[in-house]
Amino acid sequence: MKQLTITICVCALSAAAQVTAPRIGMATDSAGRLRPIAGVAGNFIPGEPIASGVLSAAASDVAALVKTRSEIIVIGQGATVRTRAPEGPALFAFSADGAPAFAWLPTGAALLKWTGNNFARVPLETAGISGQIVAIGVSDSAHVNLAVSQNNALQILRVRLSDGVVAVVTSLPDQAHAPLLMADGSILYAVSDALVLRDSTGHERQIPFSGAVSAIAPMSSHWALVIAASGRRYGVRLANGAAFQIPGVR
Amino acid sequence: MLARLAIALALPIAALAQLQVSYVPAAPASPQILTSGTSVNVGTFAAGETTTLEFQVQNETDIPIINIPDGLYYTISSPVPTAIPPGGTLNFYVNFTPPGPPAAILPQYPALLTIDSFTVELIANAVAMPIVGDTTGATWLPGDVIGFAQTQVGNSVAKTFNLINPYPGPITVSSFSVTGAAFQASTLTVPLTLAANQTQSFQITFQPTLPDSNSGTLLVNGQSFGLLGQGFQPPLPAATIQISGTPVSSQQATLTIQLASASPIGGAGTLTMSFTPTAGLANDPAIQFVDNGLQTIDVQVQQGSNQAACSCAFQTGTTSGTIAFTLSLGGQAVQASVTIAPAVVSFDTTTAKIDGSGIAVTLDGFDNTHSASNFSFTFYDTNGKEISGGVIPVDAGLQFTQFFSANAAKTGGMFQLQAIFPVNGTISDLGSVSVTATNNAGTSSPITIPITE
Repeated sequence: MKQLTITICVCALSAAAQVTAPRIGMATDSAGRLRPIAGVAGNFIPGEPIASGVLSAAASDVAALVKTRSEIIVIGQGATVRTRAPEGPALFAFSADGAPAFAWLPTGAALLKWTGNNFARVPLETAGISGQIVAIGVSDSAHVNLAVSQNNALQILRVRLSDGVVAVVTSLPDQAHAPLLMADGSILYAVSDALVLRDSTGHERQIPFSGAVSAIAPMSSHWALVIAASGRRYGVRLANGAAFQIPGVR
Repeated sequence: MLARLAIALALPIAALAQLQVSYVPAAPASPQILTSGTSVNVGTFAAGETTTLEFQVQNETDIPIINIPDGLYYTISSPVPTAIPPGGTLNFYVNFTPPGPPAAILPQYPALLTIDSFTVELIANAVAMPIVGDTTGATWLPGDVIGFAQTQVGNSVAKTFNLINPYPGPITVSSFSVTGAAFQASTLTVPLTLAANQTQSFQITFQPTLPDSNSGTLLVNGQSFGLLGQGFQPPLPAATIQISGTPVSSQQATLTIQLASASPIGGAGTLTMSFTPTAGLANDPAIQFVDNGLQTIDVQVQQGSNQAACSCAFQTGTTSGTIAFTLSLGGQAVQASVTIAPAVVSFDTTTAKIDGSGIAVTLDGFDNTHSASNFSFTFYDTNGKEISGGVIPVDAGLQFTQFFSANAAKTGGMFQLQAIFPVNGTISDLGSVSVTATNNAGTSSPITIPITE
């Protein structure tokens, strides 16, 4: 076996070690404001809002994507980019490294790809899609995943970015709804009284969750925001599905 | 009934007429100066009811009042001095009481009011009014107060009454109404003529809105009968706060509010929480009810329930100390508390990633004693074997002291520690790192973090 050594300079480590407040991610509150959520499991502290008038939002470890009435806002580390957009909500997806990837605007049926400094429209053959697009997610560099709901059935469509044609269709179990498509191919979705974590191989784990779920959005690489039909908001740890309510804000 | 008849008197008129007498009717009417030797109609009043008439006399000379008028239906309501000092004023009162049932109503009720040499004829009229009776035979005249049985707030009791014409002639009831939030009368169609000795039944329902005196008025032909009932609120059963399990830091715990028995009434209250950190530690803002992000939340009791309803899930924070609860419910002040004991450092999300030529370890967790100091990192190869020299102690006490000093009041005992370990050798041969941390409560159990790309 090869000899492996780790060199540690205690003085250097002390200089390099940083202690900060832990961050769960970003979440919208019931008033349509996007807030950072500090905390650890079971102990959340909502921070001051960084955006208001939010219709849709999603966050990764390094960026947040926000749709207001007339704009898509990309909030990154130290930079904010605003893009005019049609009225209405949006769906967002991040790359595995947390960078913005795609946006879907139901108004105008526009699929947009983030180029690094702006959004560019990519083709999508909507004629081949029956139902409502309820989530989007990255696939590989040549595809994007769309979750489509129709007649209480949910399908994942793998769409070619080159021509917008559906290449592969995968069905999720009956009653699956409110899916969150993650960059590693896993999916978090809701069924009656449970959340389901489905990994990229299709293996599923069901976690009891009381109350109907109306939406799921990413908060960070480790946490998802689950919005219950009651309006209550929960942070759900993606590693194990543990859910904790996010305190309401004054 | 009381109507004000005033006699304002007395501007001296030579030797014999030094008085000015006025009748002071009920507001808003103005006083009426009376002329000696004339008549004045002082109004129409309910038969059988006493009405007080107010008069005012002014006297500017030393002329005594030598006579106070009286009559069959009139009496002076209080003793009157026999003289008025020069320049003085006297208000005196005359009670008018036309005969009640079963006497017939006369066309007029005259009386002669004489003050010294001043005379005026008082003329009053009477009108027959129905009286109110109940099924027990009790009766009430206008001005009387009709009492109702003590009744629980929210419940109601209906009582049957009769409008009675006790007179030998007919009476027309032209108006009938009840006022007062706690009282409601059955519908009675008016105008309604009651023949002699005829009765008309009606109901008044008393539904108290206050656990106190509830008052109202029954108005019949403008004559009022008081309505009075006492509402009461039975006490809520004794409540206790029951905290689920043994809460520790960084939990969303729950509690229930149990009642000693099914509540006979509905009710509402508040549950308040407060936190007293262990001596020397800062307060922890995360300790709050999760539903509203506050330290006070509403509590509701439904009638018939033996438990109060509230969204009582609360965060225990990440600071050791005592969380106290105070329930204010139906006059009760119930308290409970839970102690969050000092504990070793606990880790939450942890990662160890290859970062260039080093390993970046990120540890999210909390230290509810705010005293974390020594960390130990033990590195293993991909076969799970501890590498040579792989145990690396790190004293981060200074960083934590500075961090908690600046941030504990905002984020409690939560922390994220990021440390980078330079590596010499084939970094991909590293498989995992095990971490322990030490604070005032002891050393944590080791956690193992896989090292990933």
